[in-house]
Amino acid sequence: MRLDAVAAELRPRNSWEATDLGATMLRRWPGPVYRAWFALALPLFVLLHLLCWGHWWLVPWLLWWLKPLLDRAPLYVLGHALFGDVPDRRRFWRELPDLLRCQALAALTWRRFDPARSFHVPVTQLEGLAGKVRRRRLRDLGQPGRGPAVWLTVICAHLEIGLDLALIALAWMLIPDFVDLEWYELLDDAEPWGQLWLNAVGFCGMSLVEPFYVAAGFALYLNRRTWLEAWDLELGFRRLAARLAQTRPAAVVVGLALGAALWVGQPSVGFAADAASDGDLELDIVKMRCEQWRTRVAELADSTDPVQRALAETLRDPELRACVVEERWRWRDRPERPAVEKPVADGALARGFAAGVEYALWFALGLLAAVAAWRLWRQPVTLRGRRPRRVLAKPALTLGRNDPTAPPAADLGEAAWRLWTAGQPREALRALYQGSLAGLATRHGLPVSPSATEEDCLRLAAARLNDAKLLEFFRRLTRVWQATAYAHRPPDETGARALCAEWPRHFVVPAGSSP
Amino acid sequence: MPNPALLDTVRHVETPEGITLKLRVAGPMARALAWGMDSLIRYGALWGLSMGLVLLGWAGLGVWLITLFLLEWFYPVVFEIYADGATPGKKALGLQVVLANGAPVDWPAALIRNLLRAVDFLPAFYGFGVVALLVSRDFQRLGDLAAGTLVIYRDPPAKPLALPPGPALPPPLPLSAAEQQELIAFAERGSVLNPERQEELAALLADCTSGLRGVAAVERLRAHARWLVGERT
Repeated sequence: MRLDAVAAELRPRNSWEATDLGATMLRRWPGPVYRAWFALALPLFVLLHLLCWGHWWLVPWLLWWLKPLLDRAPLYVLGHALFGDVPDRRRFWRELPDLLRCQALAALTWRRFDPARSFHVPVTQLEGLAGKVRRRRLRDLGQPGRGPAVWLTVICAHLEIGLDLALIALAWMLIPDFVDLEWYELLDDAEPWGQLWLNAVGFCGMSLVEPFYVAAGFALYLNRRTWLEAWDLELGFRRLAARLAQTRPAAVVVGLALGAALWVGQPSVGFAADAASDGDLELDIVKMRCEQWRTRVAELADSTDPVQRALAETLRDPELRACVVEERWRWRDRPERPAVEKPVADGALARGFAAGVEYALWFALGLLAAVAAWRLWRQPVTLRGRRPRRVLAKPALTLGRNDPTAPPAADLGEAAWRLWTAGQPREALRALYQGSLAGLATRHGLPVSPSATEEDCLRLAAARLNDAKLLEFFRRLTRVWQATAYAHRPPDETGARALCAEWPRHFVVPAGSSP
Repeated sequence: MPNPALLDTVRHVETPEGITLKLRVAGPMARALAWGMDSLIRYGALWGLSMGLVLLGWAGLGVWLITLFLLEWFYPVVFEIYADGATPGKKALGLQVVLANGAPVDWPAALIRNLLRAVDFLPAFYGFGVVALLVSRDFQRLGDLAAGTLVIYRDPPAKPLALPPGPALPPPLPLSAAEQQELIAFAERGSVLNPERQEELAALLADCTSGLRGVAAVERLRAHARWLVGERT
């Protein structure tokens, strides 16, 4: 199992969320899961009918009884798919006999009535545990996973019955009136055909719910392990470690089988070898260490002790392999050529199909042209009657400031005072502020952009103006304007009067002199 | 940063401010349980009411039928609007109804999603609803799809950090936000993880713990976590 290949976001969830993840898994791999389910369940359904010929009422009970075996197929697919390895058909069929044989008796007898079956089955099937070890493992996984699993069983049983009834109701709704059938006849199992119909409905309901049940139970199991073993942290730490290894210059960690290295118990064989990314010396060191590793494993394999042999077997697993040295020849300057895709075999069938598609496309084009021509001929009005698109005028900037292009009027101070006395303090201050900006832009050459905020203007003025008095006035005016405009707190009358009176002193150029 | 290729039941909603909200969408199990609870409450109330109304004869039956109608159609609507998007059953399971953009559910949405319950109930016992729930991306039944609503898990109230006491040490190198969170979570979940597992995890970060081993490495990581949450000793 490689955690970095896991296809689901691992984080500790609450149990209900975990079952939702199960539903999401089922939605992600519906094809493989349902194929596996039907590959097993459908033949069994037919077979049971053949075996119980004349006693078809037995079939639903037997199917229900055999559910633990049927569940193994979806769980097998999900268990592999989740770790990035969706099993193909051939492997599935090859492994199916073992899958069904493993602890079948227990699953069908005393464990059949385990209310948390979906949660416990992964321990048996995926971890391959049995007997006392299995019991201890279940105890370790613990109670918090079990309660929701029981609820899962209860809810899925209800869902299944509900869906069966829904299917019957749907069939009854879709049967036309002229068919002489009453609804209760759909529930009649006296006739063999009625029984077969009910069996089929039950089978459909079961097929809808059972893979979900398995997936949800599997997700509960995963979630419990994520809690207990902090899989999310392991992934995060591995990523962090990889990042750290990358940031260290010229040092490449060749293989990180820490646990394995400890097991072998020979510290001189440093499996976590650091080596420079290039250079023959480092390559030699790596090769030497690989060689050491291989000899060590070979020694273990040759040993008489079965434990050591088992250890060697484990260490040979590709996922635990400490290092791989790959050497190959390559042209020095030529980039590697991408593999050329094999052309599809062009049989007569394929050509015929292509021609058919081509004709169909031409025909569709012709049809489209004909329809277009007909529409044009019949209803040219619809094309003519288009209204021209209206372009909305850009709204003038009335709030705040406008773009100052002309110097301010000389009597702005008095005009503003008039506005103030007319009870429009906001307008008055706006006039003063805009006038100041216009003055700063035209007289003092301040490059005020239309999108500048008050603070921008102030900063610009502070940077560009030499006149400390003017700057002080502008700052005071800006603050007063901001308080009025945004906080609706106009200054008192003396303050406003002072501003109006002072304004011409800074911005009105005496007649005759020019800047 | 969430990897979109990984399976998860989280729906990401980006607000105009550029903040990504994570809505943990609730699926069939929790919703079925909440529905069961609500049904028990409703029918329990109706049963209790019928005990009293039976004394009134036909008039009592009339009142009872009206109550039945109101409870059947408007019980969820009223609770979803006035009780924070949750009927009592949903509240018990920690669920909440919200609009698809994460906003609180409004009148039109609540009405639509609960009137269309009738469609979800078709052909019998929520057949269409269950299938829609299992098939749709965010576990929406038909009513949810029509109203543009989601049923999500309400986030539990934030708990104070529970780091084991001890010295605090700055981490030896700058860490990203996610990495910091992982370190803090490692320290916080000390009570859940068994000691051997913690040592295994700490061994992964040999670069961070400057070669410490075993319990010492675990302690070093915890010290970094304490530093990250702002403790200084």
